[in-house]
Amino acid sequence: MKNKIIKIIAILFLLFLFLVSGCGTGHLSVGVGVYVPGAWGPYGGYRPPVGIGYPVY
Amino acid sequence: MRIFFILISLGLFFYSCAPDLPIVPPINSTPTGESHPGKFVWYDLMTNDISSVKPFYSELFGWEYIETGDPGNGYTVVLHNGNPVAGMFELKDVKTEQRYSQWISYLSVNDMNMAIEYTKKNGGSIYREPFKLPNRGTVAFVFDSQNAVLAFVKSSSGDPKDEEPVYNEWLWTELWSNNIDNSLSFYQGLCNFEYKKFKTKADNFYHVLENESEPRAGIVKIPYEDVKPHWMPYIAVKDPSVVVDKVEQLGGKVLLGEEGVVGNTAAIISDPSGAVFTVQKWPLQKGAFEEVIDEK
Repeated sequence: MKNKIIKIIAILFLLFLFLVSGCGTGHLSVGVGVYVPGAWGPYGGYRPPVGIGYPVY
Repeated sequence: MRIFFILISLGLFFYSCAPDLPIVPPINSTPTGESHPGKFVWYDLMTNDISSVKPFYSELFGWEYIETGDPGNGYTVVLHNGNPVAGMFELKDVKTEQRYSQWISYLSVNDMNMAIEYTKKNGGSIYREPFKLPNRGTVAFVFDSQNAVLAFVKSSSGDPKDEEPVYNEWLWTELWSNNIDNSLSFYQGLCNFEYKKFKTKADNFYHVLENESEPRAGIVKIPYEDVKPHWMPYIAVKDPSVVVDKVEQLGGKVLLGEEGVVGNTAAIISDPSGAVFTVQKWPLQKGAFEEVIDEK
């Protein structure tokens, strides 16, 4: 009976460690994905002037 | 009893493979005790080629680097004058056809959960739910209502004080959007910004989000067909032409030279990995923005 309780405790502890370790989920990364390709396209021709930038007013 | 020790050993073994978060610096080396929700407070370069971009930025801006973490899950801390000013990390977990390098701007939020719920309900979406990043605070990566990527952060070291820009460091952040009304509504609701609208000498309109009597960000309608919605970070420089002259020999591209920007005070550049940013002359003279059209 005593051995059975020890085994149950050990299994629960093991499951807890699996849970907090994140094993099976792979490395976490801070990479961001699932968005459209390139903010600026490959076009290299003339672009008309535009007013942008830090405003002084 | 023997089984007990075997199971415990197995558990400790697997515990050792706990996921590693990158080691990042706090946003402020000395906690400020200040909170400025609505202010952009940090910038990370997500790139597929850290080795090529490091010398590029070093040559242009005098940046230095410290590597942290494992090679496969590392983080490059960018230093200027010995102070952390940005970070770099490898682009990954992205489908090949969707990969591109870019600077990620971090917007300070007062309540992360509220910001996330607001984003979900107002046309945005969440790429990565909030998570605790040691030293930095709570971070989430999101798409706004126009599908521009940005990060929300609740900094554990407070927000940076409002101070004069430093040369070769961050000056400004600007949203390039296809739908101005939609973007204005999204960000005003998110951070209670006030709003000013200007007409520029190029006949386009420029929109400024303010709070605490400080301009926090700009919004401009995308004027070119091949450009998609994104947040554009700005770096303050003494003379943009000096920077522009070096860009191509360092492997970058000049996407819009000074002649393409009203007042000839700025230039849009992409680094060797394709991430886009703008350099702008500092200090500026008044006059690039002709008049205030309306103020809400």
